Amino acid sequence: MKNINTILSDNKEVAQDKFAKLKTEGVSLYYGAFQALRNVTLDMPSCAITAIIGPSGCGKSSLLRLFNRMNDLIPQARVSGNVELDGIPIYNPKIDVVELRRRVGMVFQKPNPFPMSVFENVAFRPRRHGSKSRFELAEIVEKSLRHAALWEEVNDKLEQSALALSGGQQQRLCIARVLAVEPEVILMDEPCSALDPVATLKIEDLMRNLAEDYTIVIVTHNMQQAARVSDMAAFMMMEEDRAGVVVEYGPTSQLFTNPKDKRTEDYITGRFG
Amino acid sequence: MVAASDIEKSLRRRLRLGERFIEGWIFLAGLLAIVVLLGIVAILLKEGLPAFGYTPPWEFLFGTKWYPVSEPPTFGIMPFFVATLMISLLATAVAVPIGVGCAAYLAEVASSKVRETVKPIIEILAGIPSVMMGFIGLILLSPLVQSIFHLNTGLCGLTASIMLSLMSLPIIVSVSEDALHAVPNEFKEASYALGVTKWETIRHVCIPAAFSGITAAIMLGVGRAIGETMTVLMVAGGALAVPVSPTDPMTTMTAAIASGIGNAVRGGLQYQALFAVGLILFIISLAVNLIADRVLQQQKRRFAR
Amino acid sequence: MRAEARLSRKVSQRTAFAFLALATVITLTPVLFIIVYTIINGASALNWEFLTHSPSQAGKAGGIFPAIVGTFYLMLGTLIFALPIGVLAAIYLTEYAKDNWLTRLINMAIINLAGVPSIVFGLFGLGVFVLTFHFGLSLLAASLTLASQALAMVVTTSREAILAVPKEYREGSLAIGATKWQTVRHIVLPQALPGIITGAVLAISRAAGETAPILVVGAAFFLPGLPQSPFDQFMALPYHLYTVSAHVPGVPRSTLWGIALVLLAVVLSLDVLAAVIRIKARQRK
Repeated sequence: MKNINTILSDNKEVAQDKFAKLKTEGVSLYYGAFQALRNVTLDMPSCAITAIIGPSGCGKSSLLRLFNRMNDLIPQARVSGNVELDGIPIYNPKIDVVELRRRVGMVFQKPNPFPMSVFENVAFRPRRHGSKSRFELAEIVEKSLRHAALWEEVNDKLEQSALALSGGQQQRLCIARVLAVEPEVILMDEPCSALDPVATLKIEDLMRNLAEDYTIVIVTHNMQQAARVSDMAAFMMMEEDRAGVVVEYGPTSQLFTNPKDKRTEDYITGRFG
Repeated sequence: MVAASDIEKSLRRRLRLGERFIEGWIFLAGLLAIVVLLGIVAILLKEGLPAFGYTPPWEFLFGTKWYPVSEPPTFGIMPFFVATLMISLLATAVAVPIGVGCAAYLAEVASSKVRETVKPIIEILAGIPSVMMGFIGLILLSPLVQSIFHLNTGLCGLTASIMLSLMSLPIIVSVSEDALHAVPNEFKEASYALGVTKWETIRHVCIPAAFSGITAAIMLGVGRAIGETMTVLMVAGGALAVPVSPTDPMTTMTAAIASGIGNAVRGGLQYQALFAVGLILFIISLAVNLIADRVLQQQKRRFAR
Repeated sequence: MRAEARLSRKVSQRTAFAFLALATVITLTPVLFIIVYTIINGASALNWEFLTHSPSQAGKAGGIFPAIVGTFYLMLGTLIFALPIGVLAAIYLTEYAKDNWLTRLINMAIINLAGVPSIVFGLFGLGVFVLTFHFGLSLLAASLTLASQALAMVVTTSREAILAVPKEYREGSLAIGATKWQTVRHIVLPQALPGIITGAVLAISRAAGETAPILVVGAAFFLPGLPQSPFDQFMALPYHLYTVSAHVPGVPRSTLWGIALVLLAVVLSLDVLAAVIRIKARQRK
């Protein structure tokens, strides 16, 4: 697989169309009368890591939650514009939201393992979708835990409560839980902000590994992390009416070394935010 | 690579019949509270409205003679209404100072250890069945009242009021204490910073600030007293005349229904009249509780952060 | 002058606090007195015969076994009808209901139901279950009546327990493609279970002590045997205490206190059970 930056620099239009796993076109998000996002247009390539960065409160998480329709859980939320997964509009009422959320999994800022054993956490959804024997489930659990770089640490504690694990282990468990349902996209909402630096690095390594098979979109307020980890980066800001907009979007290396918009440059160089 | 149409198909909305089935039951269960409430209203109207056909409403509400077995029977609920009013107001008048005082003590003065010990005991008071309170009133309190006030019988409104005030205490204490707790610390701190003592702060800052919550507590206490049946049935005396003083034996609306309904012929005049009393009781109770709830919501909004 | 003023304010504070403490003592004393007095006076009546035999001589002698059994059946019946429906209704209100007029109406109905006098529930049970549904004076009608009364409480306590489950668990479940019901059934409900059970136990405790609703829907003063089917009449502890103390002359005092003690023991032990469950659950967290 060619380096994504090379492909993009070769032929931007075609490349983006070809690789667009997730797409938004002129999307605005409203919570009641309040506009949280304005006119967001982005294409996110598959099997790459896209980072969404920006100062706090500018709508990064709201944007992330567009892709698995978690905003639906908020009673007053309303989306206008087009959001697509593999070219299929996902805000169509005919879409099965449950299946969408399987394909587009999410890991949250604060690790949220279920109050059950490690095994049951990972096996949670597979157990209830399709009759799976204990043997099959065990296979799925092991595969997912290995994929999440956690197997070595927990294979002797599978029956213990997940809440007894460390913060970093809990977050990798949450990742394993997502991997167990065989998604195509993994959304990560500031996955390391509640973790210590050692755990953070482990997860960043894990992300790079996962990006070979999955499309990853990560929200982070840590610019260095975005620079380390991501292939593409979108810089967001809050405008005067508190609506979030995407100021600039492009390959990470370019955004950080040669930003096109002055606001991006100001943020990157630490002049605000 | 999976074809786009395959992806689209797999993302199409599933029926999930099992979920729909369960969700249907969940929805029905949600409606049941309304169904029960409407059922109560419906049955009270169905069986009770005809009573106003026999006795015009004005006479029913303000008549003073309740003679179900005379020829012809007359139904006037003034004796019951006055009794309910007298007993409830008296019980509340006694319970409020004690209850609010206790609430103030628990919220502002008592150490948390004391609070942790006292609150469960008050919960126990709330849990004592009303027939038990009636029993205590009957066996222990009424002879006492009889001798203190030199009455023919200790089964009178006063005895009932005393027992009822005990029964209203838990709710008055509980809601008042919540109201006092909800007073923002900033108010109290501002007061202390001006050199005002704790008691003066309680008296002039906390209680006025918690005023609507305390009002709600009082109304809930009144509501409790109005709706109480067994205690008054057992100790209030059961007389059918309009009571003049608390030491008269009397019958409240609740006791009238409870004692009469067993003998009433199904569908007969007395039966209908008793349902009509139930209807009036329901309306009064509903009104008191609705107002109390409205006041409580108001208080929550005042101090919402 | 200043020192005097300060002193007098301190004195009035002490006096005021003494009155507040007195109010607390006045609130507490009757409960403790009632419990202790009942135990002292009722203990003598408690023997094997009392608890396992039927009453004789119109309740002046014999035991209260049928009343105990009847109360037990009523508690069971109330539980069977009120718990599943109440929990499902609470699930509806917390997980499925949208913020519209219907939901507001349901919430209002629950608040109002909680304030309806118990004798009005008795009329409701009489008119609807005994007569309209033709269940007659029966355990079934009484259980349904008590369950209707308990419904508001079960819904309220279950709702609180379900709302207390952190939303992170729900989000984590939905975000991996579990359905709403799967999330409720396997994550939310198990977490809310202690709170739900506590509420249920308290509701049954209250049902065990209720007299007014069962007065008119099937409680009997004396029955030769135990109820054999839900359509039979029944005896019950609170009703027995009422009739024997208020309507039967010449019953020995110790018998009356004995009945009161058994009733109090049933109600209070359930309250204690609920408290224990609540404390244990909090400890585990």
